[in-house]
Amino acid sequence: MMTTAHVVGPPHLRRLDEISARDARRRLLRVAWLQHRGACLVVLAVFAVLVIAIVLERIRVDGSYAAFVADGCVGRQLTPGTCNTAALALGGQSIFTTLGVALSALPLLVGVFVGAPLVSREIESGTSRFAWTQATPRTRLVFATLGVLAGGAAGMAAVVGLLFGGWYAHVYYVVLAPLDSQWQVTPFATTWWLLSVWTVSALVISALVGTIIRRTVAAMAATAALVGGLIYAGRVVLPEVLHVGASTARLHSAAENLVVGTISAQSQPGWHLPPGSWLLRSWMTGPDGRVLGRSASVHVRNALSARTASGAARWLAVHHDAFWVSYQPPSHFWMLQGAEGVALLAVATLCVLATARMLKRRAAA
Amino acid sequence: MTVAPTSAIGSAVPDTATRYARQWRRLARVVWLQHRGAFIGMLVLYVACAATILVGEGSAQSMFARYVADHCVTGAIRAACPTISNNFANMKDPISAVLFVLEILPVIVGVFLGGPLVAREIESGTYRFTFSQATSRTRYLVAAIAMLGAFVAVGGVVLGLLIAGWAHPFEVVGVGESMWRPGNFVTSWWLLAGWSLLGLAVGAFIGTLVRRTVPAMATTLVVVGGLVVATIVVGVRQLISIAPLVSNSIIPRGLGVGTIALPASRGDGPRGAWLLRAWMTGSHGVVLSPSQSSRVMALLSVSKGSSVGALHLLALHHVSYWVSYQPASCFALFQGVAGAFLVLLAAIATVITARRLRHLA
Repeated sequence: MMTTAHVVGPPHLRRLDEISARDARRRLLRVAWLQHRGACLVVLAVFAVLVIAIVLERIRVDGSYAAFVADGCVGRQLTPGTCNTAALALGGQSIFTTLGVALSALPLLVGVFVGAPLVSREIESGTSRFAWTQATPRTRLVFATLGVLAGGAAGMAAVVGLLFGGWYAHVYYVVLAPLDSQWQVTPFATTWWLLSVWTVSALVISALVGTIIRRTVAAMAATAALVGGLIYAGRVVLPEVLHVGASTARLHSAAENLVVGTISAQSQPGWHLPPGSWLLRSWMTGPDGRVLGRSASVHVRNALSARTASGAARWLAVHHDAFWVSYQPPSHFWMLQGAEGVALLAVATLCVLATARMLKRRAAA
Repeated sequence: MTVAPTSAIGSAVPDTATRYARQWRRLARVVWLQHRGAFIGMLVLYVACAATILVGEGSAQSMFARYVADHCVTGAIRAACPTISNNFANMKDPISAVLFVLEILPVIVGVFLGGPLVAREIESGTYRFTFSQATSRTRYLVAAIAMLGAFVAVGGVVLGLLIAGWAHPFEVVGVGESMWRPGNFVTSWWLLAGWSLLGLAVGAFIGTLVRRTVPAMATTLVVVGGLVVATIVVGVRQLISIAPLVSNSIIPRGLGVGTIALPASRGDGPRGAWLLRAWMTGSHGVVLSPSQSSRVMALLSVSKGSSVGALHLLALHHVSYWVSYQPASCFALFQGVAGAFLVLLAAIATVITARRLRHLA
């Protein structure tokens, strides 16, 4: 009875504890803001520039897109004439590519200029001796700062990702359907979800790098190499990752212009695949269901190329050959996004734990 | 009397030239000790890029040798030629990645070498010691920028030459690469060295303005990165559209009307030329509107005739197809002008930085 009363404490003291805890949190946030307001304002400026660029570019593109829709070109083969001119007007714009590159580089910039100096600058300038000997433990100070910065950066990245992927890039997917798709490397890595997860991960990884290296410029350079390498590796590995959980279908039409082997293209209307599917690989099978070799496949393709669509389908049926493709249906898009995001968040969590360990070990030293 | 002591001193004290040489040697050692991390970091980057280029170039050159041996360069119709062309097209990802790294190389130099060069001295307060020595602050700055500049310029020249050697087979085979393409244009040996010098000088200048390391690096990223992007997106196109030549003997095969920005492929224009813009004129030399031109293009695509047939069809309708282009012979001229401009800008930035340093309290 005595012990219980002592632990819980009288109500007015508990209230005082709650107030002081809330006050401490508020003060911690204020310290984080005062220390990193420059970085926060720069990130805010970058965010504003990206949003303005996307909105202005969308306004400019809307004219060509309206003409494209008005001419009834949606879903039609692009031939020299009105449809092709509109498609060329959009396809020739390098601003779309530049925006894609800028968004892909956003996590890298946040990591290099916000995450890397977070701990390393404190250590290099010696202010850590003062900051880390206050009532607030050093891990709480660092993670409060990291949490505030990560929350803000992730929110901004999500907004930019939504504006770019769901709104602006949609025009390009419709007009240049065979070329541009949400499954391609840049659009896949710049959705609202993956962009914010990459940003948070880059921030956390760079904070760990800064804690290890302890010198600002060197930590920033190492972060640029590490996070840049990770982003590049993600782009290189993505085509292989897309094979995970891929569906398989037998095409009954001749599937004109489709090569045998690795493909990276969107499905066409006549192929009876879910609209927006992303083709990964194709192969041919013979009468006994065995996969045909390269030369045999080329022989069949040559035989089909001279025929109409129905004639080609008949020829395949008569010879008991079949044309197969593996593809990712649009329903798998967010599953794969989720899987990659969760993997990145797991890495980020490990980095947070490693940073905490490093900070504690530094205290012990 | 006067002569004797002078010669006596002359034997003990080194003459002016020797003294200067010794001072510069010591200064060079100080710069090396201060910036050895940056030197080594950049060297690692240069070696990694060079190794990637050499590995890629090896496989490209062996395939190109087959292309040449099969007489594909001269336009002979062989079964192997389209296959080799497709293989080249499939090999474009690595060269595109390295070209991208080379495009942003001046930004890396500016941010990680130029930005902290002066800003770190000022922020950490070590400039109070450094700038109060016998060596003047201007000489110290010139020594640092000269050493780092020579290093990045040599690195730029080497990488520029290597990437040009790798890109050459792609250009001959005709899979999109061209020395005129903005990305390739700014990564020639001459412009890459010029851009690296400019990045370094601008970074140092921004460092003296901002006086804090991380903000100086971020500002350098924005300024130099903005300059590079503006040059690639707009600048190169504007530069090479100055005083173009015009021809009406180029076949409109695969080309449209309006801005083209493509290399002249085999038989479709002078070898190595860069096609800028195309338009059509009617019977009285009047320029056709885009819709009229589109109708003519549709007619040409439906006819599916040979090149001569296409020209005949155009003549039948009294239509001429005009293309403005830059011949290959003008490439060196444009490069020279652009590079000289970059070096001049770098020199101006260095002079302004030295002036600001002199006035630093």
